[in-house]
Amino acid sequence: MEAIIIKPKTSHYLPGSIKSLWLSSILLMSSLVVFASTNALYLTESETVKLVPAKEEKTDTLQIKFKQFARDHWTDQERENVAIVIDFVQHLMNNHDFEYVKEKFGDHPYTQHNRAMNDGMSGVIEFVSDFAERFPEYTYDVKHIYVDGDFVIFHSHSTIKQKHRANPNKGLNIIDTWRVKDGQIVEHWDSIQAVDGSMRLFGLMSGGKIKNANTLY
Amino acid sequence: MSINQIELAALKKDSWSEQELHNAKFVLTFVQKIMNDHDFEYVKENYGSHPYKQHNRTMTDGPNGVLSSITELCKVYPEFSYDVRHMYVDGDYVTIQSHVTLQASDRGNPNKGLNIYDTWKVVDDQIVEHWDAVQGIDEGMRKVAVQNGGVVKNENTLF
Repeated sequence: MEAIIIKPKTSHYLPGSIKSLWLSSILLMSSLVVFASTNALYLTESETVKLVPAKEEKTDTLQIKFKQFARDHWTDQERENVAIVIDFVQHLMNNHDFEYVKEKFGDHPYTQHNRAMNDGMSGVIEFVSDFAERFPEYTYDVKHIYVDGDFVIFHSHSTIKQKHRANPNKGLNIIDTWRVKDGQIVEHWDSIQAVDGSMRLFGLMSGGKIKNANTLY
Repeated sequence: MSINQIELAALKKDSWSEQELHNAKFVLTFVQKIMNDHDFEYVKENYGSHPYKQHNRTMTDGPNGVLSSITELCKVYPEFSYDVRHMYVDGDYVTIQSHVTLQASDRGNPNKGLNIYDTWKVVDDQIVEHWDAVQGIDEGMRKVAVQNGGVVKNENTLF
């Protein structure tokens, strides 16, 4: 049986008192899970709680596979650029491993053209980590990848709940472009189309936010 | 009213192969004719027999679907226009990101209109397939998305 590992990813930024409060609340939630489902629960290390959930509670992490998208005519440089962006999107949007993204991609300029996010790599990390806290099953199901030199384009079906995955009537239809320069991701553009009614309402309400001066293009 | 002209020189990349440059020109001509010139007769004559598998759910499948949707839209908004800002080519796949506006007075205004990505698949000078992501920028366009975004007129899915 597979186990879900819940990591308190934000705990590195928190002072000790909040950290222990967080752990207490996790233990309380976990106890409730045990009470509710009688599944086994155990702590393996101070910051990791493992539990064996009922099957319907299992959260799969989607994997973006390079092989599925690669085209024969891509140059070595284009292949490398695609691999870099896959690594970034996999860890940011699917694994929600914000520490990894921060360490690997955080220390260089990143011009953000999504107006709802602050400029820079810290802007997107902050935005997605807040979003993933509200929607832990948030994921990017990448459907198409195109590359043109430094520019890598992803067309993805993004969903906020596990049960919405592969449902063409739910979630978000997103096309992103990232520009890669000398092995670093330096610029990002996107267009986000809400698919279902509630996501479209969300777009109506939040779509006017402007947090950077880079324009959409 | 001036007609917006898409300039290939501003969009093209030196890295494109001959075939990629050809595909880029092919797509830009189509976009210029349908989205900016609104020359629907030309589009019908030159693209009307193409396979054109449509992934924009609000349009019926085939070249006649997009033709009738844009024709209807332009009756209401005769100044409808595509300002193409970025273009990327990967073999048969041509992708553009555009600032789309309904009124001439909104052109160049970053707070009006639609932010649209389109990808066309071009094989042997035929438009085989089309995908897009359409994002309303101003509140009015976002309201239109709430009202009309659920219309599904083909079975091809968004992807």
